[in-house]
Amino acid sequence: MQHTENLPTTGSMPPPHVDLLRLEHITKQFPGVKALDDVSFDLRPSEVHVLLGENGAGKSTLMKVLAGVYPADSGRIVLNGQPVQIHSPRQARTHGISIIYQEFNLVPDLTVGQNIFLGREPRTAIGLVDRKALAAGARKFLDFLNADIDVGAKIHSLGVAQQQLVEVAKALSLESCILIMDEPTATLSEPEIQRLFETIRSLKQRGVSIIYISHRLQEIRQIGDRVTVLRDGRAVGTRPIAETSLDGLIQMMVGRSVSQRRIRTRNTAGPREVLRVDSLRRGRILKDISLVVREGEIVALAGLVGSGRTELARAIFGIDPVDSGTISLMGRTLANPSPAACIRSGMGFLPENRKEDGLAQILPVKDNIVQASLRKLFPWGLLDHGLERATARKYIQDLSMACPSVFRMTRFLSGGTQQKVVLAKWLCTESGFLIFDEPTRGIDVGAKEEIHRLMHTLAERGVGILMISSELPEVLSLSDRVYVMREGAITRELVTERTSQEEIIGFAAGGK
Amino acid sequence: MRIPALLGKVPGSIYAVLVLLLLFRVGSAQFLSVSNFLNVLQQSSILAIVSIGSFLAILSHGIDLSLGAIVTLAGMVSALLMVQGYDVVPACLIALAVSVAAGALNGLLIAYSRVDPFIVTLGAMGTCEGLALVLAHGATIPATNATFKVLGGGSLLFVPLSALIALASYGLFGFLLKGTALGTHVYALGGNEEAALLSGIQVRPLKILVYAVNGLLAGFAGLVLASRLGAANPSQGIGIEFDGIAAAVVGGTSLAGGRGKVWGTFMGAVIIAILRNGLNMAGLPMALQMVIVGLIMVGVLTLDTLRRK
Repeated sequence: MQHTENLPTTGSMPPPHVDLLRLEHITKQFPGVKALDDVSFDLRPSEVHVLLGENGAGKSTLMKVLAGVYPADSGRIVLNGQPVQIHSPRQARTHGISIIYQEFNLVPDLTVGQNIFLGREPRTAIGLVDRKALAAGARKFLDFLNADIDVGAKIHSLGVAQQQLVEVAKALSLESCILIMDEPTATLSEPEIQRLFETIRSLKQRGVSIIYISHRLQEIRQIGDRVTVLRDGRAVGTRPIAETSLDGLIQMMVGRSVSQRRIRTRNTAGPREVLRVDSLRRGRILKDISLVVREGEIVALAGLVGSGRTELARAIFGIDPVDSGTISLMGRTLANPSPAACIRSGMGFLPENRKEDGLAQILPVKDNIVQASLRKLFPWGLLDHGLERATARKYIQDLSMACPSVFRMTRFLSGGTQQKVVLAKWLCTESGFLIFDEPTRGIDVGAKEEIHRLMHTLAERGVGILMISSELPEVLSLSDRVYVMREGAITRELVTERTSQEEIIGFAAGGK
Repeated sequence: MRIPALLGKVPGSIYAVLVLLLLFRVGSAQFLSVSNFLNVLQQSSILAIVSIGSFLAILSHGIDLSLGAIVTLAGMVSALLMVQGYDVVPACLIALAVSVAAGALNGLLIAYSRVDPFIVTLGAMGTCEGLALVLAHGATIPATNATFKVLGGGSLLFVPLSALIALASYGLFGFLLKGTALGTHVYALGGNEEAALLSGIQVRPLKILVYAVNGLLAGFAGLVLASRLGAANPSQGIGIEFDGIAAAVVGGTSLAGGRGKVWGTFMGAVIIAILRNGLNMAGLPMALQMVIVGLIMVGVLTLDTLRRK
């Protein structure tokens, strides 16, 4: 194999008026969700085509269909005018399609050169690895990218931006003519981002087309040629970037029909602060976070995936250590925050992945409900099974759970009912402050509304709630105030009644 | 380069060997004698060969608990065949074939059933040990053939043949791992299986190969052991798999896979052999030796984890 002769050149590309790639009427259904609904998308030679949309709009799913990770339920892929079947990532590569995920696919303990040519090592006449050819080949691709990286360096000794360049060099060595980049700037610093953009421009000049997934509105205007917006699994429209405005893009992302009924009919916030966070810092993940939640108040934490919302919640609940800052609960500063200490001081945490982190799936419902309250219910450490059952029954009734018996194994319950079990677990502790991380993700509409109502009732009883939600309608209908997070910092505090989806997403994506 | 910088480049295991030698020298005057040195070399050679297998399994993000049992089984099969009147060479070849088959079966199950290597090789450990017991009806089988005895007892210019074989094996595997694409692929398999798969590496056949090679190494070590002892008994390989894992880990192999050097494992095997020998000469009972080896392994792992933070 000739590894050093395959830099892409403009000569071999089809003329620019022909679509290089067309995805036609792609539909993809997952259990309970239509992830992609009749989506069409096209890519021209030497184009940077941005795929824009909120979390869960279907961007990643669409690209995984193209990269052979998921099969589409219907629709077809047309490459250079020919319909093609892509059933595996390897097939995608043979068609010249490479994808660079946010989590890189590099082997940390191999060198840069070994990673670039992994599985395709140049050989000497007697079948050994030709180290010179390998180093020279790797050097050539890295030089093309103007990357000053030692081909003999191990991957784990490189920074994120350098690793990303190695991934790009690897894609080049595979003769890729279509490069998909999934949120490539998510972990880069500003100068690194500008370097990446230079790289993307030189790739374009060489005839490589790039599908650029992002939800950072500013940067896509710097780098993109056209943009396709996805919303709720549907393609909303494709426009040349030069003809769009920030407001126009935001409108396309969130849609126009924002007439959501407000569940929270009145603000029940009292004067007492149940949670106070002062100048919380943790490396590059949490930057000087301060916030307050009062009794009877529902405060939403809005922001994009990766903005640090869950990390903040974990830090408040004492799961992850912080560098500096203080957390006070009910007016008392927590000296050594740990989940056990937080629960004792009256805090509860309903994690995002209730299946993995929130519930013991193979235990009966009753065990899960009393799990965080054992010390309170049974101060002598001896279980009173009658009290345990009675407690569980009370909550099953109070929350009208679809659960036939307290002995029912938790994993047999529906997602909505499971979330109610998690809720019951924290109601049972009689906590004064609760953190809800994505409280209704993956829950059907009916149960969703019930959960919302229960949260409202809790607030009426004086519980302070911090809610992380990626669903802006949920934020708008349920919260009293909103903190918007971006890149580990709180960028804005808004009063829910005086804001809009457009304003929130504007602050979250850095458009304004 | 200044002297301190040079000293920093020497692997920690070399210092460990020097410290151990000094300690045991204080404990027993015979410890640094030539005869004991040759003895240690011979003792460490069997462990050293098996440790390559432990190393390969851990490197590929697996583990192999069946190595000791395969050591036993190979020695038993060869001894039984020779008692039946087979020549030395066919008896040894059949024993090796059985060992490779056992290893390949491990690999097949690990690659295709998705059962954890720990469980698969734990099962194989029981099976092979049981098989050796059944074959010999629980008895010790003599292996006194003069040609066969050369393997474990012979020497070349006063250096035990088994030690030379062990060193040659390390040379071979050092070259295979560093100089060939195959070696790179084993590192890739352990370092990031997904990336290896997406790079077109045939991950499943590679896993089968790794465990089959482990079987071969353990089988070979089994022949050397039976030859040195002049007999095969159904429990003589027990526990070698744990010393092998200890050698790989002490030698700097990461249990997370993808990181480690085969010569580091060699140093690990030498350290453990010196420890065992030195503790023996100091008159420590077997049980106490196990306690000390266990503590050292945990200590090294703790240091390693702390240093990486």
